[in-house]
Amino acid sequence: MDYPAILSIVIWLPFLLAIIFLVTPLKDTLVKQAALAITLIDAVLASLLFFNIDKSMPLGGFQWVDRIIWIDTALLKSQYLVGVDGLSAPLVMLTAVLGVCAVVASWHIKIRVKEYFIWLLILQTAILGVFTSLDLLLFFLFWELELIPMYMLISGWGSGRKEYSSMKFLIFTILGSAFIIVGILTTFITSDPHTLDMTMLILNSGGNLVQLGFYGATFVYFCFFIGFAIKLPVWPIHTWLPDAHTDAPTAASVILAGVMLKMGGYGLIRINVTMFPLQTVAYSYLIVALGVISVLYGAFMTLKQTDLKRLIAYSSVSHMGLVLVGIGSFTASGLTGAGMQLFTHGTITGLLFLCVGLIYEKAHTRSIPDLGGLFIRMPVVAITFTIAGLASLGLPALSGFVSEILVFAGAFSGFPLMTILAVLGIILAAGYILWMIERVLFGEVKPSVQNVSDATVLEAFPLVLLVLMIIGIGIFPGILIGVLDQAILPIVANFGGA
Amino acid sequence: MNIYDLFLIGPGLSVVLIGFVALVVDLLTKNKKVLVWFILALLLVPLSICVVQLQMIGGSGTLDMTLGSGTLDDVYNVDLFSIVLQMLVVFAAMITVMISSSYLPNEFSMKGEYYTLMLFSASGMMTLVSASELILLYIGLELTGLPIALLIALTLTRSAASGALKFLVISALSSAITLYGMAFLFGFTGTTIIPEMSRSIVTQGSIATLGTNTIMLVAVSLIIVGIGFKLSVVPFHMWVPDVYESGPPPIVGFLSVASKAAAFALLLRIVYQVFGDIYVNWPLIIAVIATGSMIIGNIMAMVQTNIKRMLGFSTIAHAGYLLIGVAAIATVSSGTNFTLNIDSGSAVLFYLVTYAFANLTIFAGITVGANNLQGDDISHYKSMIRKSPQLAIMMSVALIALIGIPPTGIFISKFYVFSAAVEYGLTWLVIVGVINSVISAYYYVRVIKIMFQTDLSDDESNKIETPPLTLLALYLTTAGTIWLGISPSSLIKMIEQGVALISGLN
Repeated sequence: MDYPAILSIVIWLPFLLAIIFLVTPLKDTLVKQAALAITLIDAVLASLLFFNIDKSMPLGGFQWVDRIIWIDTALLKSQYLVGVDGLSAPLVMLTAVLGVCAVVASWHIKIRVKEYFIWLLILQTAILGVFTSLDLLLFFLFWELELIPMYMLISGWGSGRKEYSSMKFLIFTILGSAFIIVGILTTFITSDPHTLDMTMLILNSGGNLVQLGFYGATFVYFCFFIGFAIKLPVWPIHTWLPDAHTDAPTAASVILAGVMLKMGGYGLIRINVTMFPLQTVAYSYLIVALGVISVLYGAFMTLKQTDLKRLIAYSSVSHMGLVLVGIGSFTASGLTGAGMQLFTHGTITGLLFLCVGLIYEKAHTRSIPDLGGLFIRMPVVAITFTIAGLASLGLPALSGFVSEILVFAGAFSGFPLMTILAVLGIILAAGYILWMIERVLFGEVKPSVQNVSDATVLEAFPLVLLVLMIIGIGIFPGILIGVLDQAILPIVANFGGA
Repeated sequence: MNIYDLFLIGPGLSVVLIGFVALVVDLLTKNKKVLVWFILALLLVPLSICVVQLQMIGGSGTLDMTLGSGTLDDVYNVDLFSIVLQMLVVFAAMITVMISSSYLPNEFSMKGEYYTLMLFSASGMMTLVSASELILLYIGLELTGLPIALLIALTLTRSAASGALKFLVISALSSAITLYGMAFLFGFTGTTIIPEMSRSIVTQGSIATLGTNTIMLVAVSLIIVGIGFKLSVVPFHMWVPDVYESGPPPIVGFLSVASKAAAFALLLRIVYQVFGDIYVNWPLIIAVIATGSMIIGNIMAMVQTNIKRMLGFSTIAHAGYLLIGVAAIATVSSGTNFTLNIDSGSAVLFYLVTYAFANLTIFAGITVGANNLQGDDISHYKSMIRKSPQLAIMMSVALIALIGIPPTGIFISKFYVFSAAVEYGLTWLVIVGVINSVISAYYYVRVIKIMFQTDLSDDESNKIETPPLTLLALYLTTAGTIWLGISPSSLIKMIEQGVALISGLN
């Protein structure tokens, strides 16, 4: 199937709308409706790409590729090069769908509405760009473009210590970017002929970095690794995440946890694993160990949280640790599990944050001791919250289960002890999720939630959408696995893995 | 000398003439708005001469004078390198005129002198970028610096006087040091014409013996020190924050952009045409200066509360990034010889252009701020987004550019400089540069953050009216910043060819 420039349309549509908002004096309600319409169209187009992906492409095979020479000089050569494969297609769809959810979750925004949506839409384009760009400079451009909108959303429309949290987010991310840019520069200069084209770099992964030598390549590997690990985030560089999540507005939390963390995981698979297989294998113990520490540390920290958003934020640290375990295992099953975890965690955490956003909006508190008996007051939200929670702890027939099983199955043969430790994290997850549900949804109705109402139809729409996705993937994981395998299997096969 | 030769030196010449004309017009007219429009219109003349020259230049990349059958071409160059830089200077001058028009108070009685001095300084810079003969270069240096000192003093306040004096003394000192170094070069090579120097050095025998020659070491060091003052790099930076704080913002903006570009052009020319043949380890000297400038500039900028002082330190840091490129021009090959490359030089030149756009935007914004706010502290810019949304957004774009975040010109140029440095073996310096970029994000973002703060109860009456000409300047420079971030290719190609010409490395 061939639609010219469809991928670029998906990427730039939100940005285009942001520009229109910037130059025209639209009414606030119209701004919201236009944003919803465009993100919906974007989501439909992105899903179309996902369902029509050609599963027989070899390594380095990308679809719906748009290629324009961007910079062409003696030293610098760069292209506008975008395309998707089995790894990025699910993430593109996830981003587009969560974009719709974020717009709906922003319906109650009343101050500086237009500015808010401009930032949100630019953010959307930036993240879509990260997942689709196949030129390292373009990749970095989108990677950085995401920074300012998110900073503005947190510092402008957040709550609590928003100034502090947004600045912390910014400094951590820029620090990560610094590592990434050193990695990109070195990769660029040591490739022969100099290229930033990822499709070439992937194919040559053994050859073009030879002149770096093993230790040179290790240096580059860890530059990328640190940059992506900050984003993922991995213990001990995760500290920006709980703050940023807690103080961000709901929509920003949804995007932050739902897709922005996935940029780190995506980068690790796309660049670190694919381009530096030797290093991935050599340092797999370190990667898996970091993953396991993140899983356990995140889970233990989650247990003691009393703020709902903070709780989910720490659970994200725990779940992203599993991605690292899957990556470090360097098996087909582990990597597919990691890729799948990126997607499923996006839907689950997105849903959790949407529910918390609704609770906070109506009850004006996120503190667990102040909440209770919400099941009676807001049944729709409570049921979705429960489903999301159960998916998060890995209940079979929901999406979280499949990805976690795949990760464990992939990692167990190589790292039995570590895998057992990581499974412990799942038990802890069952603990904190069920305990949270019990305290928030059941029990006596606390005074602060005496008068709350349930979600409106509009508010329930993204909830239902995400619930359907979670159950759908849980029952038919083959749809997602088939797409992911197109990208993952050639990577593993190329380097003699099983 | 015929018409064609006059046309070749036309841009610089016409700027001087416009300066004189401005003086006369100022006497004749009461309405000073007329004067501004008059100068702006006339400044299109040098700009269009440059454009015509670009059209005529063809594949060779250089235009030769008819007079003197070739000897003059070694003294005054009209090539892609000089034309690009001359256009940059003229553009900066136009922007400065635009933002000055609203800055100067109505009762300020020396408007004519102000513009004339600024144009004289611009002509000095244009001489600097074209000349390749020591005496002419020295005249250019003085013509650049002296009017600026006067301009700083022109507002006749106490702090302006002290800033001007400081600038004057430093300027004189650095010129003297440069001149001393030039004298050594002349004494050693027997010529003041730079391209001939290199021939003379080569014919005098083994370059290796020259390298150990103390006189050469002294000459190179003195020139680097002298130019170092103009470039505002550590450890010759002491004057920068004070002058930035006390001078009128439009002039400081002009100084930070055009004067820096001219000084770097001079440095590039000397590096390519003379230093390449002198085996003194000057790349290391420059790398050390670059490191110092970046670290001290950025760390000091973090603790500033005054926005002008902060920008003063920021300009020191940016000079450091630029010097990374200069240090990467030469790589040691075969132990006793330098291999020069074009990439690093063009990266520096491209950086200068992108930096000019971003910095002019900031100074245009600060000029508006100086007229409408209570003071120069960063905190005075609080809630700018409410008071003047356009101004706040455009200043933010420029600040984002100065960090080096895409999609802005400085991102591309930083990437360009850094990749040239990695390519030519200065990876450690790039790591220092990248770390410094991270540090710099802190203080630039702080300004953005304050401008976007709205929790304060500012009533609507507090709106700031940006004068139309300043707004035009802001639009032009912001558009330049974004445009070079999105489509840098054609300019880089032109610059590459220009640098190839002056380096003789075609």
